[in-house]
This record gives sequence, C-alpha cells and structure tokens, in this order.
Amino acid sequence: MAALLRHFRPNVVGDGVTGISDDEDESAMPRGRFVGNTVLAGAAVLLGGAAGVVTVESAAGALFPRQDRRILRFLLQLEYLQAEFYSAASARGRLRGELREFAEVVGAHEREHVALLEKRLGKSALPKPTFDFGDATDNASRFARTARRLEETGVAAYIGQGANLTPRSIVSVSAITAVEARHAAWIADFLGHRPAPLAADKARTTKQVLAAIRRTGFLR
Amino acid sequence: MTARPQRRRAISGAIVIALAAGGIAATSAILLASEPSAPSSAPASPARAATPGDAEIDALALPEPVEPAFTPPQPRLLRAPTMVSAWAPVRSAIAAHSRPADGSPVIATIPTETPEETDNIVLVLGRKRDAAGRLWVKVRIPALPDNISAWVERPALGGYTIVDTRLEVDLERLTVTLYRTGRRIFEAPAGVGRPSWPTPRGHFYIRNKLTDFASPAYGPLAFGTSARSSVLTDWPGGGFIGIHGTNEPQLLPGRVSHGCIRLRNRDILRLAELMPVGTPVTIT
Amino acid sequence: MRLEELDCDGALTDAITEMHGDSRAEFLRKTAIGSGALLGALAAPPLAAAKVDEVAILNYGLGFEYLQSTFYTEAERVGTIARMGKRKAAWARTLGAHERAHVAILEKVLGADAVRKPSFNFGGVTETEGGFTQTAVAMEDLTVALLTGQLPRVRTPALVAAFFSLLTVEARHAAWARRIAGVRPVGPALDEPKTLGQVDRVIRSTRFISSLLPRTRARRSPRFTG
Repeated sequence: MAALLRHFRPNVVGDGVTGISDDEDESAMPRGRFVGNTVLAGAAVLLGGAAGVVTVESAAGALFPRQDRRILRFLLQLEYLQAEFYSAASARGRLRGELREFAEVVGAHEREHVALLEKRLGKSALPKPTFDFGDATDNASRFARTARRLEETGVAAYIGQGANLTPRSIVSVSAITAVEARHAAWIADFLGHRPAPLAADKARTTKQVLAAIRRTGFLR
Repeated sequence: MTARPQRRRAISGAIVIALAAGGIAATSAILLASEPSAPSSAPASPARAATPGDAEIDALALPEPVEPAFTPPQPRLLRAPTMVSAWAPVRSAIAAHSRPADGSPVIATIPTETPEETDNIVLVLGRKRDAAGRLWVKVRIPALPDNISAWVERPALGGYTIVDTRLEVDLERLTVTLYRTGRRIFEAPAGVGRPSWPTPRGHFYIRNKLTDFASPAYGPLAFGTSARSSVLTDWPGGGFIGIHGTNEPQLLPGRVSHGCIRLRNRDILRLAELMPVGTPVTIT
Repeated sequence: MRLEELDCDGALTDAITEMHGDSRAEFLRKTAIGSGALLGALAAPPLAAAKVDEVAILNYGLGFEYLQSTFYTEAERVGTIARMGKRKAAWARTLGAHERAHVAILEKVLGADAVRKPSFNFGGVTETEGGFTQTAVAMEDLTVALLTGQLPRVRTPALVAAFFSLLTVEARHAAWARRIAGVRPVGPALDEPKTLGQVDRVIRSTRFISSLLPRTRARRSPRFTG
C-alpha cells in the first residue's frame, strides 16, 4: 500500500501536459487513417468499424485543423467566463474558508486554462467578452451556486466537443477536462449535492451550453 | 438588483436577426460576437477585435457531439451483504493464535496444503488491529477440536473470495440444504455418521473439491470440509469429513457412514453445480 | 501472472505483435510478467505511431476497472463500509456501484475479447477505514492519469466520446475521495497523464494482483472418513 501512495502526494504542482506550444501541427492526422487493428467482430460493431473522419482543411497555411480551432475558440470563451468570475469573486472579497480557497485555487486553474488555450490559438483566439456578474459574487451562497452552474456547464461542453478534436488537441483538452470535473465535484460536495451523480457524464451541445450561459445573464 | 433582467433585454439588433435564424448559429453568435473586452485585472486578451465573419464561421461550424460508443448501465448498489462470507488461501504455514496478539497461545499451525494437495483455505470471520497497528484476521480453521476459530496475521493469507451460499446439514432430519443469499436452492436426503462414528456438529466450510477418481464408494465427486472426526483421529489424511456420492444409494437417508455426509450421485452432481469451495457449512 | 492467463484468445498477444513485432510477442509469451502486473509489457507508442489497438486499450481499462470494482465491493462485503459514517459510506458505495457498471459495459463491449478478471489480494486495505480511504484516493487519481494518458491514443470518435464521459466521472470520484479524506480535491491546473507502462508499474508495486490462483480442486481419490 505504501508503494502506491508514494506516487500520489496531493497538491504537487505538475509540469503540465507536454506537447502544445506552437501552432505548427504536422502530426494532426485525420482520424480515419488509424482504425483499431485486431478489432474482432463483436467489438468492431460497437466501436464503429468505419471510423468517423475529421475534416482537415487543406488550405495552404492552415496551421492546425480548422475545426480544432473553432472548437478551442469556443472552449476558450467558457474558460474566460469562469476565470473572470473567480477573479471577480476573489476581488469582491466576500468569501471565507473553503469557498475562498475554492475561488483562489480554481480561479488560478481557469486562468491557466485560458493561457493554454490562448497560446494554442495565438492570433486565432477571439477576444474575451465583457461580463457582468451582478450579485453572483455578493455572498457565499450565490457564489457557490453560480460556480456549480459554470463548472457543470463547462464539463458538459468539454465532453460535447472533445471527440470532435484531433489527438493533438485532445492531449491538452483531456487534462483540462479532468480538472474541470474535479472542480464540479468539489463544489457539488460542498453544497451537499451528489459530486458524481452518473456512471458516465453527459455531453451538451454548443446550443445547450450557450443557452445555459445566456441564462446566467453575465454576458453584456 | 434590477439590472440583470434589463441587460438580458438589451440585445443588439444584429443578434436579434441572428436569433431569428435559429439553431446553433444564433446562440453561438450571442457569445462570440460580443464586444472587445475592457481592460481588467485578468490576463490580457488578444488585441484583435472579433469580426462578424469570424463569429458566423465559428457559429455555423461547431459540430454536434459524437454519440459515445457505449454507455454504462444504471449503477446498482449492492444488496445488503449479510448473506455472504469470505475465504482466503493460506500463503505460508502460520501459527494461529487464540487472540489477535503475538504473545497469545498458539492454537494450531495451519499448513499451506491440504492432504489432497490443494491449497489450504480458511474462512474469514473478522478482523482486528493489535496495539502495534498490525492487522489480524479471525479465521475458522481445519483443526481439532471442531468449531475452532483463531487469529492469524493478515499477510499470511492470500486474497479474499466472497461466497454467497451456505450449506446446512441436519443430522436429525437427515437432509442437506443449500441456500444462496438466504434463499433455499437445493435440498437432498443424506447419509450421515453412525452413532459410533458421528458426524461432528458445528460450523465448518468446504475446503476443496475432488473429481476424476475411481473410488465408487465416494461416487463421482467429493467435497472436503474443515470438519474432522473426533473419534477417527488416526485416520490416514487426518480424518476429515467429506460430502460425496455413494455406490449404496439404497442406504440413504440413514446413519450409515464413518462420519462423512453421503448423497445420491445425482444429488452430489447437482450440488457441485451450485456450491463453490469456501461455502460455510453448519451441521446440526 | 503470465500473459496467456490474461489473454484467453490471443487478442492481446496479437495487439502486442502489431505494435512491437513478432519477436516482442514471443519474448512476452515466454516471460512471466511478474507478480502483480496487469499488462506489464504494454507501453504506449507515441501519438503519431502507425497502429493503435483500441481493443488493447479497452482491455487495459477493463483490467483496471476489475481492480477498482473488486476493491470497493470487497470492502463493502467484509463490512468495512458499514462501519463508516453515513456520508463516507454513501461515497464508498456509490463509487463501487459506478465501477461495477463500468466493468459491465466494458465486458459487454469487448465480449469474447475481454481479458479474464485477475485474482486480487488487497492485503488488508479493504478491511480498515484508513487503509481503504487512502487507497481509494490513490487509485482514483491513478485512474484519471490513466484515462488522460490514453484518450489521445484513441482513434474512433465514438470511443473518444465514451472515454471523455468516463474521464469526468473518475475525476469526480478522485475529487470527492480527496475531500472525504480531508485533502484538497484538486491538484495542478492540468491533470498529469501517465502511460500504460507508468500506470502498470504503480499497480505492480501495490501487489494487489495475485500471481497465483488458489488451487482448490484436484483429481485425486478422497481419503475422507467415508
């Protein structure tokens, strides 16, 4: 038992995920090229023997697949919303104890996610929207409920788009997605809700995600 | 306080038109066609302002989620675990103590093998930590006197196997009954020990299963138990009580054996389909 | 445990052959993997490698889910969870239910290709509340590392989608477990991926996987009292 636990010291700051720095992305291969090989009959039917093909723009100068870019731009907007919310909450100064820690720690995460996606997108990134959080950072209760909405929406958005990305983008997006899910579970448990209500989480479409964002009223 | 609903209504004309178009395009446009951000304490965002062209391209092209290849079934909690027991193999020959303490008397030494050269196993009854924090396990052991339990250190045992069956042998009614999670699933008439070679009463367990032998007196297969005859102590192999078939079915039910529990051959075969090794056995 | 014991119909050996060539598969066939490894020899090829066997990835996932579901189920069966406080018991039971559901679906998806369930010896960590909690935290974090490591290797989009849905659940488990244990639910901003080899080294170090199945049957004549 000791051997297993030595590997997992909480709160160690990792080096982050390797492999995403510049936009040059020659290894982003179309998914259709690599179909699982020894897929026997039963598994093949369920896995979908003919793998879906991801559109890859062949336009000269396309530095990574256009669809990846669109998706990451979308996801970046969500990260902006979260990062700004936590920054606003921390600045507002109304939180204490675990919620204060949550806002600081999770806010730092979201800002790092923003930086990662901005770097990946470079000039392709869309600018950060302006948000007005109204009274959502007024007190602990509103903050916590709002945080939960944002985190759950984020998780569902990542699940919704993750499989549409090429492997190179998935390297970073999977690492982000896991942490977003941790955020969601943390705040749910804090509020007394079920941190893991399902055996497999559900995707949300972009339409659903944007509707959820609109309902918050935070967008100017 | 009233500001937020106002803001929702203050939507620009361009976006209203986009809304009319419906679907992903509209809702994406609302988010993506927003104004450039004002300076804030957050990290600086890219300087280039969004153009309607970018927003529309993005909004129209975001794909639907991919349907997952599989979805797990509805998760189910376990039914109350009161009808199960656990057994473990003996990893190394161990001293079984009377209490969960090194210094307590040794009741027996448990070998790693049975006389039939199968791995010796014990029934796990409970556990306790000693003062030094070491984990001890209370086990039913195949030793005399019958019904004995003792304590061994956890590392001496292998991994646990959970069993949800239990066998009851009734020496008065001369029956053998198998239960699974409390439900009776098998019953058969039995031959048990003669008065001079009685089948021992108490709590035991199935230790092994023997097959493919040519001893008609035992029928097609035999289960070994942890129970031992208290009178046939010099019996080769230790005098263990078995549950097996017979070549004298006409004697069943009856008090006919040297202690073993005999079933008709078709009954022992059926029992073998239902009863795993490690099943606790109660003989009353 | 030998490769053959895990590889009922050769699907796994085929996968290794494809990734590493015949000689590697032969080497593995002859080598005892060593006690405690799930699939010790499978190392993740780099992203751009020619062939990725998704069945092998799923099978490693199934082996890992067997480990987790047996861990939680055994802790419940031997009474450790019943002795916990209500909130903690609900956590432990829920995680067990989820992992059993994961086993069920992976077994179904893989069908005849599924690896056999290994034998486990948890050596006491399912029998004390403290040992259970610490091990659960470590195991859930390891699951997240496994899934983040494997996700970029999967090529079939529908499978990627399924993996994302599982990844978030295991990450929820991990955060929840940490909070139960009184530890901060999150680590760094990005969950660090691990390769199959790295995950397997950790599993091997736990010695949870028994190298030998107990022999409780024999083809011999009984010498019972009769």
